[in-house]
Amino acid sequence: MGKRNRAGFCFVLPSLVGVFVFYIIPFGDVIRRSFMQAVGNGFAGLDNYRQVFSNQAFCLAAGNTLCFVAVCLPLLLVLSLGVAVLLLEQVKGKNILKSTYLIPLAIPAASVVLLWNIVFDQYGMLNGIISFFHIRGKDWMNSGAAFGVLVFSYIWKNLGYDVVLWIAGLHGIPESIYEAARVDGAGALKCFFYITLPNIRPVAFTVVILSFLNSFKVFREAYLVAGNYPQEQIYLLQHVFNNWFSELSVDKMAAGSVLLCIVLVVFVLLLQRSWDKED
Amino acid sequence: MKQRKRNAAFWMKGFAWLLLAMFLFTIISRAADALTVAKVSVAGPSSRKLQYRVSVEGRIEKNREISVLTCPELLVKSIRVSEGQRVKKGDTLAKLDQASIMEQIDKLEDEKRSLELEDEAAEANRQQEQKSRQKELARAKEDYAWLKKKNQMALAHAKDELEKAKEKVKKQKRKLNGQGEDSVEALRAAAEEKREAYHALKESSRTEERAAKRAIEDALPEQVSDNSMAIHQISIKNLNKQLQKLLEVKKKDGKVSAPRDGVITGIFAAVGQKTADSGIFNMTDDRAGLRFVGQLLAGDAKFVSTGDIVTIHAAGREEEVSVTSLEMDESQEFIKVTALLPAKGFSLGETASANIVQESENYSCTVPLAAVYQGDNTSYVYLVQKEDTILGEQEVARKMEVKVLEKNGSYAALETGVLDSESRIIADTDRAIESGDRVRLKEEKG
Amino acid sequence: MKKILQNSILYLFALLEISPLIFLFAGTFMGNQEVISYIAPVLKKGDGYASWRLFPVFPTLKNIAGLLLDSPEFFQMFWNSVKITAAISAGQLIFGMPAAWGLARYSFVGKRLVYMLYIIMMMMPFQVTMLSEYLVLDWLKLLDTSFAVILPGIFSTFSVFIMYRFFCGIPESIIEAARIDGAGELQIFFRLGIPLGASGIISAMVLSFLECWSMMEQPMTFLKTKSLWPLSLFLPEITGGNAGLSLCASFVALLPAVFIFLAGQEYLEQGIASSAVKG
Repeated sequence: MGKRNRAGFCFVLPSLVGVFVFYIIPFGDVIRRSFMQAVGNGFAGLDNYRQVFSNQAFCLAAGNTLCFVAVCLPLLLVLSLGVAVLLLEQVKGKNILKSTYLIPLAIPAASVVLLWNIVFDQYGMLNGIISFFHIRGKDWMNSGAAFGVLVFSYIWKNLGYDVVLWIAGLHGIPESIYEAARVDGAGALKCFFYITLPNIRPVAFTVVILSFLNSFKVFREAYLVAGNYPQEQIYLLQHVFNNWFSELSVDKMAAGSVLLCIVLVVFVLLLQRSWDKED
Repeated sequence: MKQRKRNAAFWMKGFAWLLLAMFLFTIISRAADALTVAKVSVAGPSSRKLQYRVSVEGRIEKNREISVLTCPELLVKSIRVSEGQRVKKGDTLAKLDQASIMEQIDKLEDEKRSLELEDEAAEANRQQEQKSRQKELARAKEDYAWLKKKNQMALAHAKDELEKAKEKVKKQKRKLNGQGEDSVEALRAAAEEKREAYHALKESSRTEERAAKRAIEDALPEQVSDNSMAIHQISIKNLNKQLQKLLEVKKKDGKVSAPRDGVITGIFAAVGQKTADSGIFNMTDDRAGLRFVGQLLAGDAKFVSTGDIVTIHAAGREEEVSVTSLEMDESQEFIKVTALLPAKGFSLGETASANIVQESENYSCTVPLAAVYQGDNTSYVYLVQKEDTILGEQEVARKMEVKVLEKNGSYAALETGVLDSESRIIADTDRAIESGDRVRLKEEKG
Repeated sequence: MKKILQNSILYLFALLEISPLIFLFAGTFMGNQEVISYIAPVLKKGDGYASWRLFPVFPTLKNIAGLLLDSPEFFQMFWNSVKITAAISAGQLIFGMPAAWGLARYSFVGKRLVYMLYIIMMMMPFQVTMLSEYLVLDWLKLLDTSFAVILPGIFSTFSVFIMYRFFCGIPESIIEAARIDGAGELQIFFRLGIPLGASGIISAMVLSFLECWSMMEQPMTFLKTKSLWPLSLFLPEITGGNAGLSLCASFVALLPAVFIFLAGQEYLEQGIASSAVKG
């Protein structure tokens, strides 16, 4: 036991060292700094945390991020589940469709930003199409509607990802149950609500968690399109951190990071539990 | 699964081809870029005075011409020099015929003599006249005195008569006391007669006296302006002078020699001819030196001022002299530049050129003129700066506005403060450049 | 009827997903004039709304030729991206693979902790540790070198995680059998582990490739010398002035990612699915 496991440990060691150096240690430093002043070595206790909580930008960003997650996550889940279900029943072109859905994952954010600009600008394509229906378009990028743009961008990119996740999960439901239900005369909808949904719960959990993690990545698009100080509604946590970084407000950054970490850890534990539950 | 594997292989191959294509394009684009990169040479700002070189073409002319004189009316026996010949002081320029000299001397002496004789005669006349004049004067004076006396007596008598008549009238008047005006009238008339006679006498005596006075005046010896003597005296003096000169010439055996070192510029006598009144030779005077006269374009006037030092070049000789005068000529296109030269080394009539170098003040920041470009209202240069670009550290050309204070044909002086000694200014480029272009520095040869 | 509805929904979404790609492709072959004429409203140079065409009216190779033949900067960055991505991928194989194996098949002291640590680090958005990582890199004198981006990338725990799940799926029995046969741990790893987990490894590589190719925050923060920048930073550099060129660049930039994606799609799906379900 010991020797083998020590060997196992050796396998992990090199990676562990790297992870330590480049991730753990920095993070430890961050935790340390969250209790210190920005300049010098004065101990600041919980001052920084208090600062962060009272910082308007942070609160705004946190609010936005939360808002964003609350909106796009359910939306994405529902859409991707729907697509997954439909896709499963496809026979022809399944693979091509799947490829199509997954491709956005491969497209670098920088490549599409240009297009987003063209489509969502005040005089962009979207408004052009809308005006066709005699509805006045909004200035998407510079008003509250920017939020919607971001949601759209997120969904566009991650739909495929979630679809694949769902499909994997759906695969796990034995076909036999469906057959039995169909024999009983249940229609497609009934099948869906009574068979699919319940069985999918564990997977759903995972999907939620992973989608949640992916939602952080949307910062990239927001930054590329709107810069360091975007419109209010899409001012995210990462913006705050970025700006604190350029101002060298190390103390606030550290405290904010620790807070964020705590939130994430909570999620991780939840994720863990879902996996463990499957065991 | 196999299908997928095949697919995978396909796309992987595609990926490999993509990378290869990218590699090729990389090379091509780099090569193309290297071709289009401008090659430039740079210079730093230097400190110098701006020089303006103006070249003026002209010739060497005589500065001062003097005339070699000799006595006129002498026969020229030989002329020893030719035009343009350099002579030294004392050199024989021409020889005059001795015989003619003698002749001339004689002639002049005769003239003198005749004048002298004339003078003597004139003098004698003068004496004579003076005597007769004196006689006349004495006479006139006598006449006048006599006349005056006579008139005085006559006048006195007339007055007397008048008074008597007046008395008579008065008496009569008193006698008659208002009656018998006729006798008074007769007496009065008689008195009137007397009065008129008195006045008439007065008048005539006056007239006579006046005439007598005039006669006196006429008899007075005049201040006679008789100039002929003086004129003769002057002529005689002249003649003496000429004689003197002739004698000198004779003493020199009829040689006409150069009074100075110089170059013969004109000969005005001919062998076998008589000399004229004017000088027979013109020559330059070495002591006065020579003169450079050139033509300067009016546009270049600002480069030359009197007193400037210029270098005159002629047939292998150079000399630095200063400009003595500048004159605009009638056409307004040229300016005549004159500068004095020492006589030695230059030949009269040579073509020469003057190089005028005007220096401005010392500018600490000058760049080659080719480095300065003109914009709308500004001038600018391009600096080469090391910049961090995507392709790494590159030399990039950047525009920099400058203010040109002064410029000549090859340099421009710039206002300081904009460039420093480290600046690398693009002095020359093999293609047009813009701010932000990458450039390559030309290798230094050697 | 239902089929048609289903199909149409599926294909509609698919179209939406892939439309940016098509637009970019079309834009690549448009001349600058044409591009500007379409997006003039966005550039505030025209009125009305922006539009686009599927097929350019005046197709031209000018822009793509300009990009490929005349912009050495593009290629400098391209190869930078390739360099970084290749290095990270290689590093992840070297360090991450054994780590995933070790975590999956052995239990040693602190394994749970390490596992938790890895997952937490995976979740953390970059901004959290940004500052401290900066300081660590500075202390290691790695700032402004490619390694500043490569090294943290190698030790990103996300790929470890994916591979871990796959390694978990290998039946213990096979391993035991090999051990009985006298194989050493290393041998087992190389001869059994890797081949059996190949799909997982590949999927991890593909995902990691996609992530690296569009990596943006790290190069921006840690690389100051422009000549080290990867492609993802090139695109924001171009602006409306040469819209055609920027479209071309966007398109060319996504090609390698799409190729890799298509090559490893199957594995990719498996990789994603593995996070959802165990085994």
